[in-house]
Amino acid sequence: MTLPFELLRSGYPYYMTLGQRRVTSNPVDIGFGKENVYVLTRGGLGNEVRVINWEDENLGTRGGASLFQWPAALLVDEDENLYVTDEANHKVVVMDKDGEHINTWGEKGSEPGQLNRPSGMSFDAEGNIVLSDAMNSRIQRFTRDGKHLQAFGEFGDGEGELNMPWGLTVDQFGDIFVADWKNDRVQRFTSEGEFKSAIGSHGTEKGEFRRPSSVAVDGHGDIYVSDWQNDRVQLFNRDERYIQSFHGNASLSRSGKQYILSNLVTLRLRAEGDFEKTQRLNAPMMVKVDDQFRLFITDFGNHRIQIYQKDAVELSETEIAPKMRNPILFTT
Amino acid sequence: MTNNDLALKAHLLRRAGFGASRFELEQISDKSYEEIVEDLVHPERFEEIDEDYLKRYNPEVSYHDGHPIHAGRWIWRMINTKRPLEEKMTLFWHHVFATGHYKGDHTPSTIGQIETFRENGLTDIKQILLDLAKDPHMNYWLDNCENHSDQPNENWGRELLELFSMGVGNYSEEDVKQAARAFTGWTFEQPLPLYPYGHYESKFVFNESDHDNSEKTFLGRKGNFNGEDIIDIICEERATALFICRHLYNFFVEDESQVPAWSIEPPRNPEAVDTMIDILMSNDGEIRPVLTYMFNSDFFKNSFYKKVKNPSELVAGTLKLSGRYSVVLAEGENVGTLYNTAAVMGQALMNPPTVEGWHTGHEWIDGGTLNERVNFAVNQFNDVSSPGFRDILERLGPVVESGDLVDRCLDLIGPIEVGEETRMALSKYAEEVGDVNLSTNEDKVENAQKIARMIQLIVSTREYQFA
Repeated sequence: MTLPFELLRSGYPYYMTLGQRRVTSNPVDIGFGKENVYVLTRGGLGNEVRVINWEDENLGTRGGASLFQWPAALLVDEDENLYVTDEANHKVVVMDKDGEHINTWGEKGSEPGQLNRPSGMSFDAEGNIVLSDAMNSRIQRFTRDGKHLQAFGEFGDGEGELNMPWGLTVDQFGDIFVADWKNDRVQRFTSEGEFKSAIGSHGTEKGEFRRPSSVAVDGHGDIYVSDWQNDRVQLFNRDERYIQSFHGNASLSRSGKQYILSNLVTLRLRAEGDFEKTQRLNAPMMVKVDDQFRLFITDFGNHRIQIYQKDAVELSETEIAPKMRNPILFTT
Repeated sequence: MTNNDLALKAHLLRRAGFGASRFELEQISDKSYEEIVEDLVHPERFEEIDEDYLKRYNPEVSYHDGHPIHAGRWIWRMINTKRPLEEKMTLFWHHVFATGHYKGDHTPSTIGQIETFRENGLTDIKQILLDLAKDPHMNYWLDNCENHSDQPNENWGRELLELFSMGVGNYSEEDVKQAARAFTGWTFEQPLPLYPYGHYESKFVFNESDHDNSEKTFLGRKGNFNGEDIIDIICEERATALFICRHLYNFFVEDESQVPAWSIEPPRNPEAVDTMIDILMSNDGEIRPVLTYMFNSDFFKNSFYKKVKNPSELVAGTLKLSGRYSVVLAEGENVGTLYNTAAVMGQALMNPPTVEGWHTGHEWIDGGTLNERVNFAVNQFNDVSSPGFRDILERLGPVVESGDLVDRCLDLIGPIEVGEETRMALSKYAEEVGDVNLSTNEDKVENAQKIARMIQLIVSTREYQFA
């Protein structure tokens, strides 16, 4: 578990789009199996896990109204069991990859181990589940079968305090990054729950947030934050310095292309419309990264997943000049 | 605050807003009636409603695929806004400029029009009509996108004069034709298709090459008129001021006859409407001075229960009392269901039945809709754990004597005045119940249903159907 000394950032070429309306309708989270891609959906077009593959084929649904009402986040374990938080019923629902119900745990309350609107989730290195207990303004850790292990955080806007946390992630060093939603910031905690740092404040400028809904950290320590109400994802380096924003560059998914090509009127309307609008993010809800440095954004308002591929060269200490104490104008 | 003061303020908030809980009435207890009117007509004094909680727990309001969730969102705003007149005027203009979602089925345009009414509803009639003429939803609804220089379509021009400004009998058929020519080329940008990724917005476009640039004669004036000129001329006409003021009177003060009868039936209160017209015209069509005058007038203050609540008023007002669908939604609440709740009572928001809009007053009530109205109101008090009911229970104090039960509950629900027959029926139930002990938490649990039943009886009364 070491990080490169520095990166030569080449860019984030757009990789691909997955899903479309009526398949991945209103995606709130995404998880990956060996071949399947699991997309958690929530809204008027269905509350369920949609299964697709990398060919963007619709492989059916898992879960649904009989198991959960307000699904908020999804985890997929190594056996492709699916864990879904249900904010309405204060529970975590567990299914196998075929949708068979395995377990449900959690109860409403504010005592340690009880939940009040559980939302974002992440596995830690031991495979336990760390989750945001939103209305209790705290983070809790459980075994996969619901045994309570840890709780930290309390309501407030001071260091280490939380206000309706949503998405979170655990990085390779065990640090916990939390989208502190109502406080418009991301907070970083040690695995013991000690406050380490905070990123951002309310606003629309670079490095500012309007209700951040999730956070992901890649193998370089880069931090991605879905800046939900600003319709963008922001990237910070491991030193928490702002690097860039993603506003969306969607191309057509395979299923979307097939749909359009088989509908003459839709083809005509797309030809007449403002094409740039088709690419942008709308209420991006969850952001995830994988070990191939792909960035996945659930583009909630557009019923699709936007995926970028990070292109960067890892540099050792001898491959880059040392940091400079002051700026220089002589840059040639 | 005397009971009379309280009742008058409650009356004002039922009409200029969607009612008020006792807590909300207490919040303004130190303000005079006139100060409250000033606050109402100046919504910018208060913070906009924070929709973030709604978007978090009903996230589908972040996309624009179906209008019911947005109609429900609007009712949620009616319940929770700190700017009640802003939402009420939005409903008013939606009521006057009835535009149906079903024709275009394009949610961004449907909700865009409502947002425009929210922004301009308290400005002036010229601005409001101009925004309306440029609104893609209205443009498509009345076919102005098909109004070409070489092939005019008169639908928008006709309804602008007949249903949106002057009213029948105040213009000629030739004026309709000329108005239509002036609006040629007023169209909208082609929106992207629904599939595969949902709806995208449209916006107004003036297509100059499709505009009839020749001279027109409209209401006796000659010129190379564009649509904006037509609106300017319309707004100079007293008939337009009469039409708008009569609508305001009908919506806020007292049920009038239905709009199609206005060309043959005089206003119910001609003096009041005449004064409102004078104020509107002497203030360049500004709506705010008219509303200020109207709410402070004796005719308004004496208009208790002279209006049947429209379904949105009934739904939002009752939910304010029960404390449900508050800013932070309770588990499982979906504002989209509120659309259907009002729709089965006869008011499908964003989907009025025709361009004429809804018929009002007693036409809100028939056998079916009355059933829906009463059942809905009663059902809100089935759950004795609802925040609004808990608040009522706390306010009743440790013991409610049987003889006081009716008055105490009528007071906390409104205050509401009821007729003798209704009072006798309520009193009969109070006698059966006897004194109600609410001293301890255990007593409250044991006796909550008795109070809930009384509240349910009150919201089932004839009087509760009136604003």
